[in-house]
Amino acid sequence: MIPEIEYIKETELDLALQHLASDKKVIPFAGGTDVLIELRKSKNPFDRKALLDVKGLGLNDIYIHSDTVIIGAASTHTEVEDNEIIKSKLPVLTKASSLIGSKQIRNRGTIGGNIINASPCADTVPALLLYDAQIVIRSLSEDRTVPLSEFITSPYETVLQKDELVTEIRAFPVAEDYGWGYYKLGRRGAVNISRMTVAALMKVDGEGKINEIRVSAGSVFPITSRISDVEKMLVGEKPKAEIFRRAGEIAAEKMIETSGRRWSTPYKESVVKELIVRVLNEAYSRCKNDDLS
Amino acid sequence: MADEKDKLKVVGTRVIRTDAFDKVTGRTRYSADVNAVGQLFGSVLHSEYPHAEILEIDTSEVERLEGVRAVVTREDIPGAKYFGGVIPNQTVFAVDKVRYYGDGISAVAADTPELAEAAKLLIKVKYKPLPVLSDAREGLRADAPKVFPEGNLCKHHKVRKGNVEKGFAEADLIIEREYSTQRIEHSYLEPEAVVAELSEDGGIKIIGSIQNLFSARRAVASVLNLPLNKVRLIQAPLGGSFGGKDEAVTVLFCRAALLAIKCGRPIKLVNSREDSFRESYKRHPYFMRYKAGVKSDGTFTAMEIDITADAGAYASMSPFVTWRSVVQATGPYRVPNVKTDVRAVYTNNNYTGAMRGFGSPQVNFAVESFIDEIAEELGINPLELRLKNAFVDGDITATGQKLNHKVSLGEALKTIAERSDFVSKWETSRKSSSRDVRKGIGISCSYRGVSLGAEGTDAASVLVSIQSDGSVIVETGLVDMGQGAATAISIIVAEGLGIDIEKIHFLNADTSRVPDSGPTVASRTTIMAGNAAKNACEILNERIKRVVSGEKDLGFEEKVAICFREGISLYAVGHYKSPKTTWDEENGYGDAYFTFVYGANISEVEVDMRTGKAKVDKFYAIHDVGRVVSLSGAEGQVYGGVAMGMGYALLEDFHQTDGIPDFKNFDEYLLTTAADIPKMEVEFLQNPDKAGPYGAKSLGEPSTEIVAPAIANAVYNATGKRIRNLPLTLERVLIGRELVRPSKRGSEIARGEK
Amino acid sequence: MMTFLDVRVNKTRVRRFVPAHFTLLRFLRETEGLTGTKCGCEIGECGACTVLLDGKAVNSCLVLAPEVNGADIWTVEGLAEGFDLHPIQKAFLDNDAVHCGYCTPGLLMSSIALLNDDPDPSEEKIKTYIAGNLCRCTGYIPIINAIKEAARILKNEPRPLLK
Ligand SMILES: Cc1cc2nc3c(=O)[nH]c(=O)nc-3n(C[C@H](O)[C@H](O)[C@H](O)COP(=O)(O)OP(=O)(O)OC[C@H]3O[C@@H](n4cnc5c(N)ncnc54)[C@H](O)[C@@H]3O)c2cc1C
Ligand code: FES
Ligand code: FES
Repeated sequence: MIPEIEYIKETELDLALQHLASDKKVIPFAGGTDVLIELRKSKNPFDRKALLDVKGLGLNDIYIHSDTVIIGAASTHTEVEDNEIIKSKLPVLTKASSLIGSKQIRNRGTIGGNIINASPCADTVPALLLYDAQIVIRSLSEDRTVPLSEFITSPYETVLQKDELVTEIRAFPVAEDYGWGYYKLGRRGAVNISRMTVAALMKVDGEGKINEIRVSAGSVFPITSRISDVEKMLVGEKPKAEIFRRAGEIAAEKMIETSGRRWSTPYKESVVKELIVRVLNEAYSRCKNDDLS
Repeated sequence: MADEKDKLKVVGTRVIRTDAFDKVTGRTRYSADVNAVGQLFGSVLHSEYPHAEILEIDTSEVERLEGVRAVVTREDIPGAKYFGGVIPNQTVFAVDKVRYYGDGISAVAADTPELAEAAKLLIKVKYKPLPVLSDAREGLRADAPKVFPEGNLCKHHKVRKGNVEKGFAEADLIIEREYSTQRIEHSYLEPEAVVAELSEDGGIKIIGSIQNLFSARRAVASVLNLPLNKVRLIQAPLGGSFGGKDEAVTVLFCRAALLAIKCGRPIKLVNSREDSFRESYKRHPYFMRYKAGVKSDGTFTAMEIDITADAGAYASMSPFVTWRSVVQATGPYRVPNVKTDVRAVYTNNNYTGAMRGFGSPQVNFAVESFIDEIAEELGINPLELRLKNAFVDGDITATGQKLNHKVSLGEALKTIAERSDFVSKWETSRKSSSRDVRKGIGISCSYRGVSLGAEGTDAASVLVSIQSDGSVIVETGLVDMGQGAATAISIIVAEGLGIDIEKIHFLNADTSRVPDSGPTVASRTTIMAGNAAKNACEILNERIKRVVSGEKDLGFEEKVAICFREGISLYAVGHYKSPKTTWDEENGYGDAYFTFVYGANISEVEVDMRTGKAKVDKFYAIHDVGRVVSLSGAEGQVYGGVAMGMGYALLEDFHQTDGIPDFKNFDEYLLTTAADIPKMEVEFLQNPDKAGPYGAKSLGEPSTEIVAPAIANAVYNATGKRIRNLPLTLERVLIGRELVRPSKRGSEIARGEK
Repeated sequence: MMTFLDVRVNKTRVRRFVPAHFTLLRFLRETEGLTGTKCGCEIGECGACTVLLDGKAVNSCLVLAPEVNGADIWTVEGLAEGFDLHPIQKAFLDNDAVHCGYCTPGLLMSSIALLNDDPDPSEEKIKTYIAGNLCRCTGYIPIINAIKEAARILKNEPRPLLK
């Protein structure tokens, strides 16, 4: 049961930020799909917490501004999934959002909450990393923008300070001739916490060689990240089964190098290889290149 | 009886469930929807250890808290400190020690539920932790921690037939395998809830989500030291049970009653899902060793089976559950020499008890996988090997019982195999060498003893009361827990009286109004309550006939009106006692059940060879139910049974690490969702049984008990890898073993899997 | 802490003080006595608590009561008018989609949200919309059939899903 709390709602960003700047411990929340669950587990129900609702702050616009897609932090997964701009400019994010939780969860959970919660299995993060996303942060005293790749510092930890709010996420679309792939492995048909997630963007040049490639993975490393060793290896190669397999092997080596051999390694090692191959194949199949074919 | 079928008007048709209208409008009042005037809210403090002595319980701080109205512990129990239907060794509040992590220490009543929940954390308990017994296989070793001073053996059942040594000597091939099945949670969607209040007569009235009212009443009465007639238990509509709302709710009844007595106010006690997971009983994990001798033509010469069942901390239904296992362990096959031992062993895990299937899903998984393995060794296809050995009319079972009814197993197997094109798909799939995705098909079958069998006395009563306008009220002590019993019994009454089902109103059970009808278990409701209902209708028809026999062409209402004018009572108690069964405990044989049902399942799967994900594509089920009572209800039972069996096969595993459950809620403990459901084809065979009402037998449990082996066999057919441990997780399918987070006792425990 | 709520529940305007830590689920069940909405897990996994919040299906166990101030809420109790069932309710009855019934209110609300978004949903889409509603009894097949039938009926005699 959720213990007694104080509920705060503001419609002005500055007023909201003032609460956060006060001495009191104030927890911001958007969809609450992570926060309320944590609150319910509270070990000390007599310690009354204050919750700041960010939904009245108008942080759910999605628009394009000089080639950058701006997504309000409090946009729900459903809003992201259904948004036409995102469908055409950031298709990997559309896909990722559509596979989060259930319809009910997507109707409440937000993209900002997903990133800030910083779970290793947060599904929007691998997608957003492909688009070099940046996190726009505000406090009463300062505005700052942090690349997503630096925003999450360890599982469930971010650079966000107590007095700060995330207002928007900026993502940089790639040209139309990029192909993309996204694979979320879960145990059942739907409503899955990701066992592993892999995403990729690929561009092939006139000679049929990989011109640019971005690959990211969730629930593979302690922090969801791009796999630069894989990217480096692939650039300049012709997309071929053996090259993709090699890419998978590098990812698996990297996984073991970062986390060591853990109880889950015997399974994850071969599967991460496979998911990389699948996602690269998928991305390649979507590459538009008139010179090829 | 073939022509009887044509005469039936209501039985076998599609009817709308009698209780569904209230359920779609949200008007049904489940236990948690019931409120009593002036009620307080209870919350239970659970143990911090799976096994520990309790040195001291200090409730002084919480008692001082404003808004807290009562705190109860072992000290407040006026009567028996232990309860239990078979072996009374379960506590309401821990007495001297805790035996599992879900044991209750104390309960608090407060003005609000959140206060009760917070307040209990102020109770201070001093424990002396004891070594934890977490593996039933270690439980009988001399150095194992003792859950009870008498030792850890809860029950040992055996079956002996012929001479297995001789049988093995005659065999061309001897094959030995080990299988295991996991602990699973009933996962009824409605968590347990009760409301208890003192009644005017000096007794207590409790309404709650209980499945077996009368055994609960015996427990409450003995714990409170009250006569049975002062304990009135009322069954609220159940939001699912599947065998699970027995002791797990009885314990809540007792706790709520103790709080109500202590503070003199009604108490509402509602389990959160976490409480429910932590404290409720589960399906038994089984560790099974199978050894068979076969001739090269596929006939069995002997089977020797040794099974250890994890009973957890208390006896609950373990002695009965394991008895069904021992009777059915060899599967529906002719085996001349049999030696089976099943031991239920206490551990410090959650106690295990009744759950849909009741000891059969475990042995069916083993024996049905085993048959496929034997077929593989002999180079015979699994359908052929089954048909070769499957029971036919007049065969003798492992317990020496002669099957003197229509045995439709062969028909079931042949029909379903043909319908699914089993043999050719099976042949094709075995040859697949794809490294990406492979298809597979698997078959399984079973026989199942109907009702309680020699487990206990089997009798039931039903009250049928015709009102002066011709409408009818039906009451019984057997309950509807969502399985459609209310509808099935209403159909039988409608048929029996020759009226429309809309005329019938089925009341929920109330111990002070209906006779004890034993437990709603073992899929016995249709056959037991159905027969009793039919008997009541016969009594009433007889009375009506005596009064109105001369007058032709009268409608039911008119006849009833005449009876009322004549002062004839149209209230009858129908009774039914099942045919005799026998069991020789010492020598392990007997006529275990008065009749059996037969069924077969086929599953088609698609396996992702690189991630280990197995997906069920299509599922076929065929069951001989004697007679279909409600057609839609019967189909629904199968759909639901298959979905539950799929969870057992692929997803669910209530794993505990050193006694502490790994799972708290549905975020980690995964059930099948709508997105996992395959296409299903369901078919019924109807060979009416002379023991059943209109020939009907049972279906609720058969529908789920052979799903897992059909899927496991299909996965083998696809991958060539035999998985002998449930569930078939991604990890097991891909690398052949389960991976679990390290426990305190080792770095990477592969759960004793080979 | 108490907060003031001014909301519409099944068309009726409701103004109340409620404890700020009450979930929407508790507000409906405990303050309003609308016990049709069920509680099965309190963590957004089972869907038994699904209601419509401004037309969208949400888990009412994961919404705080104060968050819904000014909103329009529909629960299972709002579907039938007296003994006159909503077509989706009727379809659930006719297809035997109700066994123990504990999941039913939530599934009805998810079904309405679906038919609002897509009057002619594919089987895949139906599964997507109800995957967040667990049912332990029916195996989902009767429920999927019921939704298909409701869609068919509503196509022939169009009416607003909620009056
Ligand atoms: C049933 C269920 C299924 C789920 N399935 C998935 C899944 O498949 N994939 C997945 O990735 N996640 C899943 N989740 C997790 C969760 O729904 C998502 O992470 C969601 O996106 C969180 O968003 P929210 O708005 O609800 O976060 P909240 O709970 O509101 O907040 C999360 C965190 O972010 C902070 N925060 C939120 N907004 C701001 C802001 N603007 N500024 C500063 N701090 C802020 C909060 O303080 C908190 O620390 C699931 C959850 C549930 C209950
Ligand atoms: S109670 Fe809300 S989703 Fe289960
Ligand atoms: S009908 Fe029982 S949970 Fe769905």
